[in-house]
Parts: sequence; structure tokens; C-alpha cells
Amino acid sequence: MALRASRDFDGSQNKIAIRQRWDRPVLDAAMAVHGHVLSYLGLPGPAAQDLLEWRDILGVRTGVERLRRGSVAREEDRERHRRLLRTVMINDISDGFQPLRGEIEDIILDTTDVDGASPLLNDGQPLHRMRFLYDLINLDFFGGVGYRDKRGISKRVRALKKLFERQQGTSFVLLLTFSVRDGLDDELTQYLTETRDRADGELRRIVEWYARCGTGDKDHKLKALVPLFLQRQAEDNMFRCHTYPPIAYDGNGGTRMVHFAFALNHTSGNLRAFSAQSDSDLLKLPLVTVHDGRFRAASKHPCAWDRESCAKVLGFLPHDLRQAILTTLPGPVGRPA
Amino acid sequence: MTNNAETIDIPASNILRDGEFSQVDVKDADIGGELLPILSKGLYTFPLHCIREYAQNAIDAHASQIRIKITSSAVIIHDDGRGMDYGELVNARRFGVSAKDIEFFVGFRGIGIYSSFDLCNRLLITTKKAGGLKAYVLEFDFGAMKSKLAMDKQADPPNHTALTELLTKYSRLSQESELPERHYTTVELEDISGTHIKQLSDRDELRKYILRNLPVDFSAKFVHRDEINARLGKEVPGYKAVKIVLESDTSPRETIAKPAIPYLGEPIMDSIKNSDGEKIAFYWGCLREPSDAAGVPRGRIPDEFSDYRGFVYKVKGFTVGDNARLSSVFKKGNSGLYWWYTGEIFVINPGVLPNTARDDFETNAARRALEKGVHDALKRLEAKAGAYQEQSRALDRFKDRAKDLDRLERSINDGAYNDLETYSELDDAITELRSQKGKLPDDQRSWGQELIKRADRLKILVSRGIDSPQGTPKTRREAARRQAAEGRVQSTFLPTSQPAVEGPVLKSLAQFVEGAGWALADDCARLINILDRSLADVLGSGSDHHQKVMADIEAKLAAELSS
Repeated sequence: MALRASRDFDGSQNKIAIRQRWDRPVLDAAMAVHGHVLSYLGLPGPAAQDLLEWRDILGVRTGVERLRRGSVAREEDRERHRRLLRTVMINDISDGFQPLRGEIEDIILDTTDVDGASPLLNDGQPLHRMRFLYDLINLDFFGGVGYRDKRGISKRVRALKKLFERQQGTSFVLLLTFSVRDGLDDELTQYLTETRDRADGELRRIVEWYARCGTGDKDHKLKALVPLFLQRQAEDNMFRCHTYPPIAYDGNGGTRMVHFAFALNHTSGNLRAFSAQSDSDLLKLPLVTVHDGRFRAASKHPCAWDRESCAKVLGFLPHDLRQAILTTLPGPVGRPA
Repeated sequence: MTNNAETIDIPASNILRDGEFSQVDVKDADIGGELLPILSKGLYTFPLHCIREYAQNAIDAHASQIRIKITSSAVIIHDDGRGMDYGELVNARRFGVSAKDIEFFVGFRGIGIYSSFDLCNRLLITTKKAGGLKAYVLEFDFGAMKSKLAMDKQADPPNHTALTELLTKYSRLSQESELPERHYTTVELEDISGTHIKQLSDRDELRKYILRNLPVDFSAKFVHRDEINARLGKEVPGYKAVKIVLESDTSPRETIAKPAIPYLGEPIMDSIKNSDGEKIAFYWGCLREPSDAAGVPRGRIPDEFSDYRGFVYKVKGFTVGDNARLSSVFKKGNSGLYWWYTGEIFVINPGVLPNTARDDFETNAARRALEKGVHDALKRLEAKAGAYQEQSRALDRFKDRAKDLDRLERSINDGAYNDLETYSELDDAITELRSQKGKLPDDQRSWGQELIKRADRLKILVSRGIDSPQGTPKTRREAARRQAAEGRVQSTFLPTSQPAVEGPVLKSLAQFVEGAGWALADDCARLINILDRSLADVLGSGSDHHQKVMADIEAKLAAELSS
């Protein structure tokens, strides 16, 4: 059987731009806070572009490649795995690189891959209460937030919740990328609707705007929901969460993707942490888009653009990129199609 | 082409004629797939052997660096060698067929690629030759092969899958785009059992194995590294030390190098030739020679470097056998001196072939010639080590005697000594030192001579005490002070903390002989010693008569020497 080349072997131009120009300043800032190179747990893909692009700021790296059942899927996955290993060997980034095989969700939930290996940076505790010690977790999913199993449970969402337990005690940067395709549409809408019902005034109107986004504006819906969800999970697990503006882009094969970056700082205490950003702050974050490697503000936004607050939330970016985005801010409120 | 026992092709008609031999075709099906596990398991009995085999291919591809990475379920061996194009990769799959020339390549049997058959379920070889636009991938599904062979055995009646069928069905090739300037080969052993991966993950064991078996370079800290490498590069065709780097999930990256064993003497390097004068091997060896100042005991290479004691055979840099196999050439002291050396013997004659297990050579005339030449070379090294050992022993005896003299001198100075016992001890010391003096290293001879003179002086003083028993040790000590003050003898009775008083010294016959530069046989030296003692006893040690006689002998000796 001929080996099938997966389309996601090589990153898209947009993804490369995000990695270089958007994530890099986030990681540089994290490295300045941590005071050392960042340990990495993630899904580097066969081309290991994360690892190559950030090789100067990464320390120990654990890269996960899935290994599905079924002969065709398994063969595809093994080929991805081979390419990943070849890439790290050829580029001499194999030292300190730990390849794991399996679903990242399973590894977060159960702490081991299909070979029984755990992520290298852990606290050495038994598997059921093992904690991870990574500075950067990059969950660059090709798919959506998640599909529900027969019991209606999304393993991906469960894993995201579990991740905060696993990382207890270790501050980290979480990079998340989803496609807009998933099986949670109704649940996303319901989440936003219930959030709306609890909100008042302007916030209620903004949530309403997101909840009414249709299939064509799914990126907006995710842009609103994921930060709210993540921040809640983080705070319940004693992490203060700072959410960077989300980015929407077209990935390989034209799939619409949304990329998030969160800085999660662990705090002492037992009840919950409180982040500096309110729900309103999160919902007002601009959605940035990338097209042909160029960044710009999304054309739609649930409220009037506030240039000053936009400049503030984009403050982590290099001046030229920040200015480039600010110049694309559209006029007042746009309504979703 | 799968046949069971009942369907094996039998010639339709008997083609044989009485009294004549005829050829009967061998078909693909006649060579069963079981040959693969039989050979693989039989030849590569230790998981680390396959690392050696793939490293060997890397060396043959002129790699300068080999990186070995062990993960939780796989081993990856990556080299920066020339790589293979499509045709070469297809040829690499051949079983027991190799295009490599024995003279220039390490591997030549064409089975090393299958060395991991028993170890892993999937073998992937990704290779790229410089200049090409494609990398090629060869995959062996060893797991499926093993399942197939197991099913064949369980079938009723049993099936037999031919080797060609097995390899054709369960190996595949693919290609992928790659940068033209790149060249490499990456071998990945995937799905290795937990037991095996545990063995392979033992960093200490792996390091030891690599150092024992692969052509690893010396540590940069080894003082003779450049000298030996330069000479080997000149004398051993194709000599190349490779940089081998180990990586694993749980340990930091480590570059393997032969350790810098301390206190090694200058390397001894030479060719070994056969009776026709042809160079068949080249060796280097270093004897452990700690300097006197180092203050460490002489002897064999310390235990922490036990793998490097003695000599090993190397063929194209790969070790054949172990370091114990040549120890029996050294006979003296139960081969003890053999372990004082570290060295390697590089076999140059291509007619000397290592066996597949690489623990010995195949038996042939070339091997016998090599062993004879190596025997002679090692015998010369044994003689050198023997001479060094004698020097060391002599030096040790002198050091021991120097301590004895310190002790005796202190007791004489304190006056608390037994005359006759001390005299006897000094006499024995002088006899021994004189007999050992010739064995001292050149740079220690004058020190040795001074020590003998010191012993002589002490002996004379003790002798006087015996001859003039009046007085207590205290009065004798006072007398000695007076004598020293009068300048008659250099006092050894005075406390060593005081400056020695300069004055004429009554020399012994032995010192005259020494001063004359005459080398006396042990018997003569003993006779001279007896004469010395007789003169001192009969004439009275240090007496006027004694002094006169000795002065007369000295004058006559000087006249003799000047004439």
C-alpha cells in the first residue's frame, strides 16, 4: 500500500506567521518570567515546526503523535511518527526530545502513552495523581474542540479540564488551536446562551451577539467561548489566566482554524484564583485574522472598537505588527451575517 | 509461493543415471523463511549487537558522526554518511549478498540489516544521498514476518513460506522529497519489547558496549590522542575514529570517547609484518608509568579502566574478541604485566577475517601469520614492561632503605641503638642497595649513589662504636660531636635538624670503586664490602691506621686511574 501523504505534514503560511510573529513574543515573555528555557509538551507534527522555530527557547520537549487503531489510520500515524523522528534527527534537535505515541487527551487523562511511557517532566508520583511540570503546552489540534462519544462526553474537553489538575503548581503557557468543525455546536450555543442569561447590560448584548453567530461565523463563537471556559477552569484550579487575543486563519486545506494563547500563573490558595481579565474583557478581545501571512483585525466585532484598549491588549506584539493590526480596525459595531 | 509438505515439487521423472552425478535445480521455495530468524537469532544473540551492525554500515558510508537515540519503544541510529540512492537501498535488502569489498568495508556479509529481526517489529531505513532530490525509505514489517512464520508452524499440515516471498511481501519502499544537499541514513527500530528496551536503555551498559566494540575516538583530554591518531591515520588504511553520541529520554546527551587513562607513558607504535615483509597489522600500546612524583602505585591499569587493560584486535576500527584473549602471550608473573598496558592492534591484512559473531577470526593462513607477528611484538613489549618493573622495584627498595636509614640515623643520634644489630642492618642495606643500583632509572642513579654513601658513613660510625665499647651511647655521641668538630668525619650522629658539619670523610673501598666508575659483579662487590669491614675491624674503624691505609689505597687508585 502506498503511503498517503497527510496534508498537515507541512505547516501553512498562516500557521508559520502565527508561530513566528504572534506566539514567539508570548513565549519570550514567558521565558523572561520563568528565567529559563521553556519545557514543551505538545503536538509538533511530523515537520516539528514548533521545535525548529523555537529551538533556541525550548528545553526538554515531549512531542506526541497519535497512534490510532485500524490498519489505514495506524499506518498514517506511524508514517507521521517516522517523519517526526527523522525531522528531529536530521535537524539535530533530538537531544532532550521525548517522542510519545498516543492521543494527547489520553496522555493528559491517564498520564501514559500506548507504550506505557509518561511525559518526561512529571513529579514522579503514581500515575493517578501524577503532575506535569511543563512551561509550555501546545495543543495544536487539527480537529475541533471535540466530538462526543456515545455517552455524550467529549474527551478533548475532559482532557482540557484535567490539564489544569496535572499542571498544579507549575505556571505555564497554553497554546490551543482548533478547527471550527466539531460535534459540539449545540453545546457551544447553549453555553453562550446560558452565559447571556446570567449577564446584564452591555455584556448581555455582547454575548447575545456571539450566541447568534451562525455556522459561517463559528470562529467568532469559539473566540468567545473558549476563553470564558478556559479561564473558569483555570481559576477553579488556582491559576490566574491571561488570555491573548484569539486569531482565526485558514489552515491547510482551507480549514478554518482558531488559535488561542493563555498565560496561566499558578497561585497559592484553596478556593479559586481571580484573573485580571473579566468576562467582559475576554469577550471584547479583538479577533485577529491572518491571511497570506498578514495579520489584521476581524471585520466583525460585537461592540464598538476601542482603539486604546485594543492597543493595550496587543501590547505584547512588536511595534510594527501592533500598528499594522490597529490600522485595520473597522468602524463601529458590525453585525454577524 | 507457499508450499506444504505434500505439494513440494518433485521432478516428474527421475533424471539420474547410474554412476553419474546430475544437477537438480534449487527453487525459491527450497529456501525457507525460517532461515531469517535462525540466522538473526543465532548470530545476534545480544540486543546491542544490532547497534554495532547498523553503526558498521554508517562507518562504511563514511559517517563522521553517529547519533543513537533510545526512546520508550524505539531505537534510532542516525548518521551523516553518504546515504543510499534507490538502487543501493534495494540492494541493501538482499540477504547474504553484499557488494562491499572486504578490503575497504567493515560489513561484507549482507545480513547485518536483519540483525534487529528478533528485536523489533518494524525496521525503517530512511536514507538520502547528497545531490539527489529524494530520500528513500525501506520498511521491514518484522512483526508480520514473525506472525506469518508462527502461523506456518501451527498450520496442519505445516506451511513453508519461502524466504524470497517473506521478504517481498513484508518489506516496502517509498520516497519523499528532500533537500538536495542533505545526506544521511536514519535507522529506526520500532516496537521493541519492554525487556529489550530496558536493556538498550541502560546507558552504562550501552556506553561500555560502544567503547568496547566501535571505532570511537579518544577523549580530547588524552595526552597522546593526536600522536596516536596521526600515526594510525598514516599506517592503517581507512582508519577513522567516529564521534558517537548517545541520547535518551532520561539522560542527557553524551559523546562517547575512549577515556584519558592517567599516567600512560609514551605510546609505542610499530608495524607487524609477515615473513615476506608485508605489513599485516599495526599496533599502539602505552605502558602505565606513573612518575615518581605522582605518588601512585605502579602496576596494572586501574580497575575503573579495566576494559582498556591489555590489547584488543581491531578490524576497520571494530573490535574482534576481547582484551583477555592476548594476555596469555605475556608469560611472566602469570601474565601480570599484560595488564600494565593499554593498546590496540589494527589488522590490515584483508585476508584476516573476523567471524560473524566478531569474537574471533576465521581460521586461515593469514590469521596464523598475524598471530605469530603479534606474539613477537607482544613479547618485545613484555620485555620492556619487565625492565620497567625491575626499575620500579629497585626504586621501591631504595625508597624503603632510605626510610630505614632515616630511622637508624635517628636512633644512632639518640644513642638508643643496638650496635651489632644496627651494624648488621646497615651492612645488609648496603649490600642490597649496591646490587640494585644498576637497575635504577637513569634519573635516579645519583640519588641512589648518595643513599649508598650515607649508609656507608653510618656503618663506619656504628663500627667505631663496636670497636671502642667504652662509654655509654651518650659519651659516644659526645665523642662523635668532637670528631665532627675536628673535621674528621661528617657526623651522622648529630640531630638532622642541625646543619651538617663539613669535613673530610673516610671513604670505603666500595666508594673508591664507585668513584673509579668500575662496574663490579655482585660477587666482587660483596668481596669489596667484606674487605671494607675487615679493614675497619682489624685496624679500628676510623683509627689512624685505618685512615692511613685508606688514604694509601686512594692515592694508588688515583695513580692507577691517571696512568
